Amino acid sequence: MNTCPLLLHSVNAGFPSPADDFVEMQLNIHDHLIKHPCASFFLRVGGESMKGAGIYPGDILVVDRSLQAQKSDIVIAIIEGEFTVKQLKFNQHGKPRLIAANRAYAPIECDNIEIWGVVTGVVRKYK
Amino acid sequence: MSSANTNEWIALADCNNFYASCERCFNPQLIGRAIVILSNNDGCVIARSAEAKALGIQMGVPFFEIRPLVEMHGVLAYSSNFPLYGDLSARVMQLLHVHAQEIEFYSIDEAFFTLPTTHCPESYCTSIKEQVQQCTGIPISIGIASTKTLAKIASKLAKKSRGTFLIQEANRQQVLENTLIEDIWGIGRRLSKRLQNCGIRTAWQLAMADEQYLLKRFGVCMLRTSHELRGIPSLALENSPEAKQSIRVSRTFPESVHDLDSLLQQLSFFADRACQKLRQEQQKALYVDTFIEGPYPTRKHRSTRFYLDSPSDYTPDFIHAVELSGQKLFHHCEIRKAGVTLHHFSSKNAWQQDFFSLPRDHQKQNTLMQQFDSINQKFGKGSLRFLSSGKREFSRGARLSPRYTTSWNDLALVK
Repeated sequence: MNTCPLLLHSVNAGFPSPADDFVEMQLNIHDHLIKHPCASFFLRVGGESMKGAGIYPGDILVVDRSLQAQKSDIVIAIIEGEFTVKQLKFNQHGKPRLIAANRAYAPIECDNIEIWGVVTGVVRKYK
Repeated sequence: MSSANTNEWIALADCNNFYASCERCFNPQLIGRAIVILSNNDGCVIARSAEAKALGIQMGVPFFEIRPLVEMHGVLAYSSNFPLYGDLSARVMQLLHVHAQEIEFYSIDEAFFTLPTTHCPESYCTSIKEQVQQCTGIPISIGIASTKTLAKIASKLAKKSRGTFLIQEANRQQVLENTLIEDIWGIGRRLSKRLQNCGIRTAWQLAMADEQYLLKRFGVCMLRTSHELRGIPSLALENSPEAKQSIRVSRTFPESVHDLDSLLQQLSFFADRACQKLRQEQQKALYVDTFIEGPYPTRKHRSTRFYLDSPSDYTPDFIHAVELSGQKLFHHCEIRKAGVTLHHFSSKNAWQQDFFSLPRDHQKQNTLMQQFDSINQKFGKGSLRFLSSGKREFSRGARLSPRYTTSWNDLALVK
């Protein structure tokens, strides 16, 4: 949903506002964060495994499902029926590995890692 | 490819077990498990995953009837989560729209669309299907043919094959010979009985039936269906859907209603909800039907109709009408289900053309309803209610999954 500026100032007859001809759509953070609206979803971070990549518990991840996951992308994968956020890497045999950005978490290797989507952004609110 | 050059291909995209697929999108643990989705107030089964269908759970069955089965097989039951289904439907439709020349959004989980003529229809639709699956997580099937009625048959076959199915001249006869009359779009139980009595049992027989005979015995709609089955397009894509002809709000009560006051509260609540929908449609209604239904298995049904003096979209008019109707219907028996239906619509705009000559109280009523709707839109359904509908909480069903895509508090968690 875009916002639309509403011109509420009443104009006295004969004195049009000089700004009226230059009204533009206000900036919308959605446009900046999302390239493919149909395929993009927000998920909330619930663990500390990606702290080293600046992804903290409570953050909102912007996830684009239309992208093919590339090496080094941060991805959402499904492991044992749960969503997990990790960095995608490949070992020398070309097998996918999910790497945490936190030493306390071991890499995950398995034959058929299901990638749910690619993380394209993170949103954090301080107040 | 005889008809490919003469007319364009019409495709029907249909989401597989749509509501169950939506529930799985953000809860991967549900993949492969039997799921059922329940109607408002968790009354009846309105959708089933393939696994639930395989257990023999029927569409529309009251939930309490299948409880033993549910417990025995660990079937998961969910209240209907329409904010989620609506959002995912909009995404699927948007993706289809991009690839379609013309599109008709037929229902929450189906759309007819025409294909650009330059492509091989099957491979084009396979790539659409894969894209929708990847972007939204919703699996779809696409049937392709030269007419809407054939596309509908093709979409059922697509579910049984690789997700797309093309009916063309080469395989049309074979497909139609294997399609029963009751499986044709728009032919219900009553019509199929009548057709069977005339010796028409398969879609092929209907396609080949004598035109004059069909027209005389069954009317022009059946003739159109017969033409469509022959591959002659007789039903156009409707890009601007007709305005609704009626609006119905009904509920099966979680616990039976025995007293008049509770019944009137429920009816008043239904009238309120129906009028909100009516104003959304920019319509006014002239009369309202009210019904009550007794308990299973007889489900004794009583209904009555109430005409207003003039078309209205003002909630108090209809609350008054359904309260009088409820008093008339009530007869000290147990009530399991009740509902109201608004009928005979006229466009609100027809009224607004002479806005300045409207009586003052009409203007006031309009303003009041506008404010009422905008407060409910802003603060959530049921924030502002009519006292006559009691202090009921807006029921969201006891087994509701999170509204993953429409509420900041309901986002799926990632470890």
